Amino acid sequence: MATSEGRTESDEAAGAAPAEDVAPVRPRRKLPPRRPDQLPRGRHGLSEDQVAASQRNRILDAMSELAGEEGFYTTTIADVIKRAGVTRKAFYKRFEDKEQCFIAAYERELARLLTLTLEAFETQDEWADRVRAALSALLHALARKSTAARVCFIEVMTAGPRAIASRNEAMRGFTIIFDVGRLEDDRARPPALALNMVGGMSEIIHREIAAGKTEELPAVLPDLMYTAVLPILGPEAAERELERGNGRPATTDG
Amino acid sequence: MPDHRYRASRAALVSGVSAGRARPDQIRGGNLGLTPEQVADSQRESVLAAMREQVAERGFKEVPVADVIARAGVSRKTFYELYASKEECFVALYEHELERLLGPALQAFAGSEPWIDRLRTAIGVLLGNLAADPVAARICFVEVLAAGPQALERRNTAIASLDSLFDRASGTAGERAPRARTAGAIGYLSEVLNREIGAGRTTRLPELRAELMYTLTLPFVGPQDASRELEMDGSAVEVGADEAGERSFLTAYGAAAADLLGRVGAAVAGVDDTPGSAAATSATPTAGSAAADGAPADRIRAGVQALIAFCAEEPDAARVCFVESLSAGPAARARRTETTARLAALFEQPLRELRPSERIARVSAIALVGGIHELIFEAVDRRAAEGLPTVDTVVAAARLEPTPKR
Repeated sequence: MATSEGRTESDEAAGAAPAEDVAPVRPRRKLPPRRPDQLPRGRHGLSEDQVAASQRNRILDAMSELAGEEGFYTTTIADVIKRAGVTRKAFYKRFEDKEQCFIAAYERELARLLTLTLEAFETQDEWADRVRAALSALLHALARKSTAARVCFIEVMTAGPRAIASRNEAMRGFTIIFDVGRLEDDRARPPALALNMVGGMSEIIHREIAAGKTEELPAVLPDLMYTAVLPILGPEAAERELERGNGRPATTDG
Repeated sequence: MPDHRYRASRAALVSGVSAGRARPDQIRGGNLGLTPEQVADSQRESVLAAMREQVAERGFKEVPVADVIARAGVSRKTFYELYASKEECFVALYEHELERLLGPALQAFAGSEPWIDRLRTAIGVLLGNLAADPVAARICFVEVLAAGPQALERRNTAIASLDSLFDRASGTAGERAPRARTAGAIGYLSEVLNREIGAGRTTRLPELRAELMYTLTLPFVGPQDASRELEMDGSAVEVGADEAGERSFLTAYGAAAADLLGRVGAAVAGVDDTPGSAAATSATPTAGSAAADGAPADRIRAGVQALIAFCAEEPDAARVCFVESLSAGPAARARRTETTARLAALFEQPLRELRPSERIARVSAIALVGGIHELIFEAVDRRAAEGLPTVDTVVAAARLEPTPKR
């Protein structure tokens, strides 16, 4: 993502021709506060692609924040463009409608979560430890950013059939965690087991977020670990995971 | 709105429910191998139903516990195991009824329209709900005031939560409306409801919408905009296409979900009575009968089997329950969440016997239902019975085989 290029705010040239679709200046109204990542007004020597990338990022940030704070249903395109500091025209240049914009915002948030989950997974050797590291990283990330949590687990279910299809597809990204365990296990387990488990985990997380307990999500780690380990390693191992409580295996989690 | 998609199945669904299908949690005779928790849940429900009837007949103060327990068919001892006092029992009833009345109104309040429109819709839904259930209306706005300090305290908390209806009201500067103004508006609302319901005019409440809206919005939007509310005829409530669509969707949803919960509940309880689905029992002989003696794993399997059979035999109803409910508006989603919770509760009972603690049983039940959703969604969406998972696949993640006790 090209936001870093977008922040080169040095080129404050004199010319007034707006290279970006900034909101037209209305003399009698105060302009909304500018976002720190908003491009400078006036000529700034950035390429069209850079402007497009910056605007797109800001729109997605704004959509994600608003949908995470107020809900997808309540959020309007007017809110999004105001917060993103772009014109309506710029919005429609990049997105067909509110739903499509939301899906893009969702996919970006989910990709971030999936990446950090799988990175944590790879820090360990034993499968149970790997799952513990992965789920712990995921829960902490969700607890830190409640808007992303709400976007990925609540709002995506409310944003229409296309969003749900996108969510179902995205969730498959997490199945690898359980497939690894399933395949390591001596006894054959049905291939759908991994998806089954992802569905179960996501429902548990969904419940906590819906109950307004996003910040306390790391506390459900033992429950998730029990649920994850039980079908693969059996009840004794599952109970051991309960006893381990919230402890994370030695791992880095930003 | 997905109106056209379920219309075909709607009539059949609705008639299926109004035939008075047994509730999944209703116990008849014997204990059918139910756990004490299941029995307690069912008893609680009978007691609340009995309390509701008694309060409706003679008012809370005049209700003897003896009549409640006689009507509920439980012993005095059982009553006091469930509730410390008559008042506590009433509070439980109050909370239950209030949620039914208020929940849909608050759901209707969500949305992106201007505040005043959303408030009008919410008040309209609330008045409609009250008119449709005068007993619940009486419990929540009249009887609660005379049911003791505990009930009064609960009522005050509930009323204060209505503050949220005025958050981000037009004419207020911040996100939250000034509390003095909201308290005044809500006090007025509950006063009018109390007076009208107390006077037996509950069914005519919807006619008061315009008048209520005028007074409720006046302190926020000023006389000019508020008086516009008076010109809006209560009967000509703009039931927009979406709203009408959602309402008829909810009817279809209620029917479909009741069918689903009835089948799964009966299967989990080991009661082989799924009226209207003779095909279910013949096609899937294990659905109801195998569980009768109640090994918990068998009961769970029977429940899962019943759920899958429902999806296979009633593809339209299943689609209404699991897919369309997500896109049919906030009230529909709230109902779906409720159904999911009730499904999980059905599986939670037998899971308690397989899990080290009640908390883990609860978590496992949630995971089981979440896993089912994930596995069936696509097939249900396409109405493709052949894509449905097998019972073994669904319960694989729940690991139901009996484990040696240590």
